[in-house]
Amino acid sequence: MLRTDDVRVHFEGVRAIDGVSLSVDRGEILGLIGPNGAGKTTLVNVISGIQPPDSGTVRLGEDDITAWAPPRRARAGLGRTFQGARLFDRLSVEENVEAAAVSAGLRRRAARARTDELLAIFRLEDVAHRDASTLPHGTARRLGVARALAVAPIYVLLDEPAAGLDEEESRELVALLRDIRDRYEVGLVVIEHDVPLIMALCERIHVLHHGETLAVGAPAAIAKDPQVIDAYLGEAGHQEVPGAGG
Amino acid sequence: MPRQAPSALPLAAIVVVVALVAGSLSRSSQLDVTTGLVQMCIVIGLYSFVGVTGVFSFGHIGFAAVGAYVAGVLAVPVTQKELLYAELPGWLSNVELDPLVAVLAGALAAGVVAALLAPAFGRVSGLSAALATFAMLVIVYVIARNYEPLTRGTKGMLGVPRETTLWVAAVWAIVFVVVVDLYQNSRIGLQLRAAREDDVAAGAMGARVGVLRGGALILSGLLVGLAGGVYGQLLGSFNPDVFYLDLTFLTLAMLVVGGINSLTGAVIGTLVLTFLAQWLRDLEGALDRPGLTEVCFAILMFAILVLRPSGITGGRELRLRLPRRRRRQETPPPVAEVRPNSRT
Ligand SMILES: Nc1ncnc2c1ncn2[C@@H]1O[C@H](COP(=O)(O)OP(=O)(O)OP(=O)(O)O)[C@@H](O)[C@H]1O
Ligand SMILES: [Mg+2]
Repeated sequence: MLRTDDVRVHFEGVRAIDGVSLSVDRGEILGLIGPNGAGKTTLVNVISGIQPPDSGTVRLGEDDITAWAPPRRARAGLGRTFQGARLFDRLSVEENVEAAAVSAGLRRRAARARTDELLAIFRLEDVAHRDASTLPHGTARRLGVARALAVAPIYVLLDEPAAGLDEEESRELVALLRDIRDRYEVGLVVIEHDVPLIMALCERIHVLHHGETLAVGAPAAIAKDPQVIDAYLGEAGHQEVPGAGG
Repeated sequence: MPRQAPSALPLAAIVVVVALVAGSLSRSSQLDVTTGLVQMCIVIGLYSFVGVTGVFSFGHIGFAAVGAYVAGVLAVPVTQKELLYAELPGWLSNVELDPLVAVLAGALAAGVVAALLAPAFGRVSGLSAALATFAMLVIVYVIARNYEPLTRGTKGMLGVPRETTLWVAAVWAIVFVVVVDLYQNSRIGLQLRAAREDDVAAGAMGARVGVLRGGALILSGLLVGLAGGVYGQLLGSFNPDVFYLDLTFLTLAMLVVGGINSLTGAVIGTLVLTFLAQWLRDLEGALDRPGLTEVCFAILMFAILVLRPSGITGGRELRLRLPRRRRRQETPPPVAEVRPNSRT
């Protein structure tokens, strides 16, 4: 299990995270939702080690990893994507994935095998030798997820993987993420503003609001939670969100 | 899936062609090309750090100086040492290494200096790193000027065996091309290039960026030190100013003009500026305008930085086009439609 206990992060006056305890199991897809500025990205940064918390702990299985640097966490099985993609722009698509694999400690042969496998799964073979910076948006998003999986993770944190995708691409991404979960038995934490998509994809949803946990539960229960509707879903309901099945 | 073809092969071929053509030219032109090929080694060594890691350095010529002096003093014949280096410490005055071994020893010495600096690169980055290497260059320069028993100070090194012929330089250039191409495509090189693009993302994938960059500095110190030793054995005699600001500027200009982020850029940039320098020097003589070359290089570098920061090569590598094999479909394509959630 991957979990945070009572994590707090304060930026000069802003309580970005204010005592959040979150957990996700292997093989589970957890949705992390909440309005802009709720603290979702900050929480993912705490889990991946980029943002040290002011207090609270992060645990990976039996280990307290709160003091671990990001590379050590990646090698222990934590993969992630970034809200702003942050691809290795002037590396080819293939090198992006392979660099992540060797960074996580895979030997060359294993890294290549994993790269080939991921390029096939994410339909990136035809652009394998193109620079990442030249990819269309949807393809770049897929590469971000493929790269996160290259580290052979047990848990993957996805920060708005469907942002900017069209309906068709979102649908495909949902199918891919399911496929990934089944194939590698990873636990996924997915941040997403596309409510229908997240409801269709996730088994459990964790709602953040002003840095605090507003609710945790099954999608159906979350959709009916008056507090959540008030703080988040109400506003989202007005948006023309493309349906992602469900 | 077929990997991309290495670029070492076509680049080595270019070096061979250049050497073959130069071989048929006048003595003085041959010497210019030989100098160009040795400088190519320095630029490739510089590329192996600046280009691969993205961390700038104004000080790598300091490694060349260490390599040149150490290789030089170890290879000067004992008979000449009595005359030219009378104040040399006893044990050194009896040493006369084979020139090649001396060059390797010089490289090692430069590598040791780089290793002393390496821990700093685990932390500093950007401008502070560039300044740290520059400080190293200044220190090496000051030592070279003032530690006369070993370096003869401003009087300069004399009696260094002139071993670096056109083909020796060409072979070294090929060795550098092959080694650095292997390096940049190795596990370590790949991680360094990834961190060059985004060090936070690379760290989140597991790359220990600081440690890797320290290692890159040591490797580049070895390479530039080696090239410095080879340069010393081309010149035969040299003083501290040979390995100071002019050469720093020239090699940086070569790398920038060719393209700072590709090995091909290091090779092409060196060749372009070497030939341009030839032509400008003739012009300088005809017009009686000394310094024209430096001014033109400065303008060229400035123009490149403004108009095409990725240089002539645009950061790309020269590759042989291999026929593309059809890939086997090993993994079934994922299901395209959304299934109802099976685990709710
Ligand atoms: N480095 C920082 N310095 C200061 N404040 C920050 C920093 N990072 C985030 N914040 C603040 O912390 C709060 C939470 O930000 P965070 O990015 O985690 O929100 P989010 O839920 O990911 O929002 P979004 O949906 O817009 O991505 C915001 O008020 C933000 O302005
Ligand atoms: Mg965010």
